[in-house]
Amino acid sequence: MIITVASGKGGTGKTFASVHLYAAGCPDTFLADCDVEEPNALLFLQEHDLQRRDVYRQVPVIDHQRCRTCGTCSSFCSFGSIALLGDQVKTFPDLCRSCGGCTLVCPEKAITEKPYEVGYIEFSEKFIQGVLKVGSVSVVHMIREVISHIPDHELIIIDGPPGVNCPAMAAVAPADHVLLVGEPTPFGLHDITRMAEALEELGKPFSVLVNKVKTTDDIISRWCRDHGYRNVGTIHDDYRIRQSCVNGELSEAHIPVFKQILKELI
Amino acid sequence: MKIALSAKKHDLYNQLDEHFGRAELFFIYNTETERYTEVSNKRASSAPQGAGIQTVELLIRNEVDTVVTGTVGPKAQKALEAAGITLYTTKQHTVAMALNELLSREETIHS
Repeated sequence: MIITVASGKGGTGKTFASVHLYAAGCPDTFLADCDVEEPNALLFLQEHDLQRRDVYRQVPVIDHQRCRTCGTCSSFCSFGSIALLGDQVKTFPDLCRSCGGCTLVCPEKAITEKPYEVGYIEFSEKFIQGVLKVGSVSVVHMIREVISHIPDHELIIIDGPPGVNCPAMAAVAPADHVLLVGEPTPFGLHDITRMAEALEELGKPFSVLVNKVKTTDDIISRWCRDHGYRNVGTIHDDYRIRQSCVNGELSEAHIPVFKQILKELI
Repeated sequence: MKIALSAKKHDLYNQLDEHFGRAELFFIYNTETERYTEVSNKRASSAPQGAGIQTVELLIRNEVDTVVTGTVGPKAQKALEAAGITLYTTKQHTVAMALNELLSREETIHS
């Protein structure tokens, strides 16, 4: 079973939930950190000697001998990664989405492709993470790369990226179930609402974990009740959690909560 | 010579936009005619990525020689160099003050 942890808003506790689900899971549990712009689940794990593999994608190379600077490629590129600047064509590989369109539209056949490094993946038998190069826009590409390297396991936890966007959708794509971590603030409610709408559109089953709860009747729990969404757990705001996070340690006291959540989901 | 200045509002005496690629519009001053025109940078400034490069393309279309702004990112800088547009960064607050600064500087150089 694959469970992706998502939220919409950043900082609601996705990584916190992911690493605790991982710790609470059966012995055959695997964790994938797909928050490739800022992976940090590793801080909580005792994983050493990770294997590393660079990740590449195709970007255009211009043959300036053949190029007649007609500008067809730059006007075709929707991402501004090829620009006609005066009498020369310049490429900006960090902006390229590797669609290959420029190579097809060039009337002089002056564009070929070469691999360009966008980051790397690191993995062990129980864990994988993707680390995107700073400045690269290849977030979805990197997330798919991480997912394609996840080996078969009884339980797979995917720590997703924040947002309700293409990267977040890429991380929920392989999931059998999505656990939404909600933070009871107006911003948290707004974003989790959008995430829930997106998941309903995709037909992905999901349930909600309410985190950082300070009051008895918080807005996320109320939202779950009003919409008939499944609320599988509540974690109260607790300085000991923050303390353990700062120390890069799991909050042992909360493992039973996550064991209970897994029991409900599986 | 044509000088482009990044601006926030349609007013020479209003703020110079300190961001090059995300500037709303550019004032283009022609030193020969001593007149200026405005061009909108809406398309680039609202682009999800590559705003600076698209802005350079706008300046090329308007045959700009020198651009005056606050800060320029690395990709836009590379594009400006390729396009042969001179970059002049300033800390002046208004478009008019930035233009005066550049013009008086040019005068000192050429006299």
